[in-house]
Amino acid sequence: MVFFFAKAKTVIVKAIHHRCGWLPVFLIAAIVLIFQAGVPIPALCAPLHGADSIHDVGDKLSLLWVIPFVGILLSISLGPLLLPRFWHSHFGKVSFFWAFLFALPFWYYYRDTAVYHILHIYLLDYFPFIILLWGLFTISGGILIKGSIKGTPLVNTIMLTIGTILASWVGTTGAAMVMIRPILRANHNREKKVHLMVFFIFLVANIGGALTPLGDPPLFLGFLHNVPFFWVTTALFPHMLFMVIFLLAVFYIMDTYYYRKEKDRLKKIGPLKQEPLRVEGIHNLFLLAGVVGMVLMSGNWKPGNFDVFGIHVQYQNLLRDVAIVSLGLISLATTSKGIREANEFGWFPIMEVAKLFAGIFVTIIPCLEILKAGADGALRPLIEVVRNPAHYFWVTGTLSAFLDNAPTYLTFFNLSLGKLGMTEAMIPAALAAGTVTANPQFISFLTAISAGAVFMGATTYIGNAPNFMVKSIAEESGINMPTFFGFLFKYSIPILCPGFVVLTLIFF
Amino acid sequence: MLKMFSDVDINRPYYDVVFSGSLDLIKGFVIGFIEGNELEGEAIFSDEHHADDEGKFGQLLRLIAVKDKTVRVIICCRFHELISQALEKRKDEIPIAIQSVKKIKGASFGFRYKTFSEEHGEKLKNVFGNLPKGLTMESGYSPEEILNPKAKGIEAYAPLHHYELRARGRVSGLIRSVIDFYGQVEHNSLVELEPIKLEYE
Repeated sequence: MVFFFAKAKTVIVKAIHHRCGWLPVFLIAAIVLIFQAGVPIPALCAPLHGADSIHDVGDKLSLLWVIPFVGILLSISLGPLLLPRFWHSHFGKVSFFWAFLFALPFWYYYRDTAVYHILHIYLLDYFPFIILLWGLFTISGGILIKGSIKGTPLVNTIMLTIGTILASWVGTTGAAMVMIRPILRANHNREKKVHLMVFFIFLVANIGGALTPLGDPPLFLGFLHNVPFFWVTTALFPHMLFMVIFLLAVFYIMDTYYYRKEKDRLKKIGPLKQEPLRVEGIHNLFLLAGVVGMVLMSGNWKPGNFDVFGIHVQYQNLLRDVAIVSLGLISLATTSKGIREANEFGWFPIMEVAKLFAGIFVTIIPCLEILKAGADGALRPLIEVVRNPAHYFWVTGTLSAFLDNAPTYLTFFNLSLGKLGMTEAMIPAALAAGTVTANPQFISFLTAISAGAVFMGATTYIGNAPNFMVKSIAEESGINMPTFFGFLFKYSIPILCPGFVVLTLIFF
Repeated sequence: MLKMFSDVDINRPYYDVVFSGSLDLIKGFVIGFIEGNELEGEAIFSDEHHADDEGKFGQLLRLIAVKDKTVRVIICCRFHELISQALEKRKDEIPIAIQSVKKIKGASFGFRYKTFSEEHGEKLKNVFGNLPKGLTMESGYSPEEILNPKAKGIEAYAPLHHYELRARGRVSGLIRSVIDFYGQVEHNSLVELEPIKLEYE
């Protein structure tokens, strides 16, 4: 005991001496968590626990282990709103702080099991996730739509529709990056543009990504956990179609109203300089097709696996990731600098994702393990409360709106598995509708979880990564975007929520 | 806004005339009166001059008939006396009456703006930094410009603008100039305006 504290003190003093200001904070916080987690002080100095079975950790973990996960999600939600300058400079350190706060006690207490879980989630979830996002971001950042047309209600509706369709194939971030500037240019002379950006966030930055695992990060996480590539395409198509038609109709009515109100002013200003639309960097579309092909391949071809510290890494997944990186590098090498500059392409967004999700994926481990334990885990009350697809839709959705939708999806994905006593290996068979192995209950749960995570990510600026990006670009173009609560109360609740209620009544 | 001058003289005397009655009726009567008598003058009605500080609560009270309907008309120059005489003659036939008349000394309005666009920032600084003739900026206006070179580019989870301009202030001057300037900036969605406040002699 004395030895432990003496050692800790030495490390802290050394860290301060070497100007590693954050390290002592991590250490202290980790020690606090060890005590909070109910570890008796002698246990800290006692011999390490024997290697627990990697599958039965969930039923042993208390809810205190979930604090870092909640902490990192709340930091991501509140940091940009409350402390934007601090957050912009230090989000990586905050992510590391929460990861460390969980990982250190977890490793101390569970040793091999902890190493296994952390390596497992990094190798099988984090790296493929980051590589896919990097690939889609890099390649779609090489596509530039030039020219400008007059932003009439019809033209705007068509452009939103194109963006919505594109989102499922290049990802919501990629589609937002490609489409936002043509829409802003087309509406340069318009006075009322806030509604246009709001519907852009609803459709292009969120709901449009519902049809493939490439569209929205939660769905790719589902794909990494054995959900077949085209399952979301068929399962979510009716839900997405309903929401898209509903939102486009509302948008068209609103845009027509504002357009008519300012028609006289627009006539006085004179016509916008129009240039025919043209796409530059079109070869990147073929590279995107390559990414789609590689992801599809990894879902269908099963050549076997190799072990990394006891973790089975599938050959096809390794091939997919290497191919995506190659396609991204080809895009970087073959796309002109001018295109990337016009798109304001930079590495910051992907760095943000990499740093923050490095923390999310570590801190989510106890949450996933507890949920996998089902009724034997500490989240039993949640499992009992969330019973039917409507519950899954609204609970996943509401949490996705205020926390990031990718970890929220993964949490409820595991909740449904735990509730039904299923393993990930059983998923493809369970989702094969119309076959004897199909599990209609799981199908309805997963449909609701997927729809909730993707659709309700649109409800706030913090629900999905591109939301803030669109807000930021719009503001830098001179649009007075609503505040966090303005967006929620003036647009999301009055427009999106009625759609979600009808969606629930029809489909769930 | 009815203008009867070929070139409006901003130094002419203006009056704040509060009528009781409905806006449409008062508008029709006043315009008809000016036209019919070929008067030289100007009448600016409440839907055009932004000087009503009634607020939403006041509007609600008027809507549910708890509060009388009143219309504030800014009039140039003194023909309200003729209108008053005409209304007096026909007070049983026309449900309009003049409630008060005050001579306007000047007017002012508060504003604030915020933008993250350098292009729009330059425009705003220019608009509020070079006020038209007859207007002055009250003390306390100092646009705050913040530059964050580190924040240049697109961000998703940690958004911060590389450029930020914000300011608040109060423009005052002759009523005609204030109303004109207000009309010029009210369409800019980056600018938030308070109602025009009238000052009386």
